[in-house]
Amino acid sequence: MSDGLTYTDSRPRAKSTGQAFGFEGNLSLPVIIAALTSVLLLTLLFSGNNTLPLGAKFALALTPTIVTTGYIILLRNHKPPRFDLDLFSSWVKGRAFGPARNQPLHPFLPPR
Amino acid sequence: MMNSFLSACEVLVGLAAGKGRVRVSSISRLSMPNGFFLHDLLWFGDGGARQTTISRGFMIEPGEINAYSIGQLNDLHERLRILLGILGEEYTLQIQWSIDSDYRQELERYRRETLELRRRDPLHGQFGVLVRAERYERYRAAMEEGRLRRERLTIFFSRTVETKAPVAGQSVVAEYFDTLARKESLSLLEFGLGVLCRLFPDCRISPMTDRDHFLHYYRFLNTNIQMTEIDPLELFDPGSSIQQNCVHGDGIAWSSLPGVSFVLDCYYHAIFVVRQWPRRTFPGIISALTSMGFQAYSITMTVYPKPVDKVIERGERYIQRLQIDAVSERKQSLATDMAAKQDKVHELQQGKVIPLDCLYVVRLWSRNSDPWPPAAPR
Repeated sequence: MSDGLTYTDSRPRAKSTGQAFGFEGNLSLPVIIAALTSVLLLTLLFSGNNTLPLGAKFALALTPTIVTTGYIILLRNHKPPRFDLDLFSSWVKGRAFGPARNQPLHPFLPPR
Repeated sequence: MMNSFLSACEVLVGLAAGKGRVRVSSISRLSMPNGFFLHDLLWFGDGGARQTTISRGFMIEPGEINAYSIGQLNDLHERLRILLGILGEEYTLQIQWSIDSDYRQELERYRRETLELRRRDPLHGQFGVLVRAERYERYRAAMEEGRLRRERLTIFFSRTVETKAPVAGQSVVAEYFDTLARKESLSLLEFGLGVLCRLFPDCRISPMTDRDHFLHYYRFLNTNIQMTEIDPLELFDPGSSIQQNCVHGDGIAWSSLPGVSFVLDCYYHAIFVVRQWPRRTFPGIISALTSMGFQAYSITMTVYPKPVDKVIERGERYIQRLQIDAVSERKQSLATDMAAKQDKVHELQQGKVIPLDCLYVVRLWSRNSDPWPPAAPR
């Protein structure tokens, strides 16, 4: 038995998953795809015969990029795991929790 | 979520194919856990569940860690390492530590013995009966005022089993579940008791029964248990679900009160989750947390083993990613992270370390929302 106390290095900061364009891990990928979709949409809007004003065409085309980037920045980037799902769940279910309304039946005892 | 979706699809296909009544589980995996106290198991499912997680608890009475020598602490550390290694990928471990002043069962047993003494020898045993009655009353009052101290350490082993009944017919299905629960209960008892007795021969280890599981759950969800007159065991109904047995009110998460996570059972609860471990840990580090001067708190630690191959694969992906990012972003911190990840993959591949996920939660509760800590040190 050694004389000293066993110390364990937990390496708490070696958690990085990389980053690109300021987004951690692979979160930049949806933003890039959304940006490409916006470019495609803008091309279609300019090439088609529609009467939309120039500003409206840009606004419409940029929607996927703005929505995706907003979602990633507000709900995913530098946030704890499942932050978005938990937030959504609290919006849907409310802030109260308690016993389920429909209680399960016992696997083998007959219901009373 | 994917499992729920597949189950729903299966039910729809079954109904479309005219299979008649399909057994569907009414337990949601996304809300508060529910199930039954079944053959000394916590059975987190019902008759319709395709897969069910089962747990069995063991009450541990260890020695006083503050009195351990360095050698004993290192030995304990080694034994705990072995325990985590034994889990494999099949078992999940949950350790619950709590402190309260609930000696109700022991005091009631003491009182029953006093009454028995008085019945057997009403004349000569009178003095003993008086002394015992006075002691009972004194300890009972101390318990209700929260002046007694009792630490509880409980370990739960859990695993998931296939529970899709291969047969039809209510009586046959009932028999199937009855047999399965008995078999799994014995299996978990053998595994848990075998491991714990081999690794911790210096501790008193008792496997939990349905009544113990119920009391543990009840105590966990009803923090004012020692203040009430009713013996919770009188409320235990094995035919009802865990929630029906133990949850008697709704909890509300109030965001307006600072430091309060939710309100349940007239108590304000605060939850602290460890998101980053201390840089260096050592055996006995926990004693700073377990020797606080108040009683209204508990610690829960759940250890989830992870599949080694998948962790290595993910680690390799991150290393590739970090290699590119370290060059493109020109950040030394990313290069350092990459080296740490390479070390980790190296050790995993060699089998020197095993991958585990851990959830470490500390819960505090108080009658008042302010101030924290919940009670003055005693």
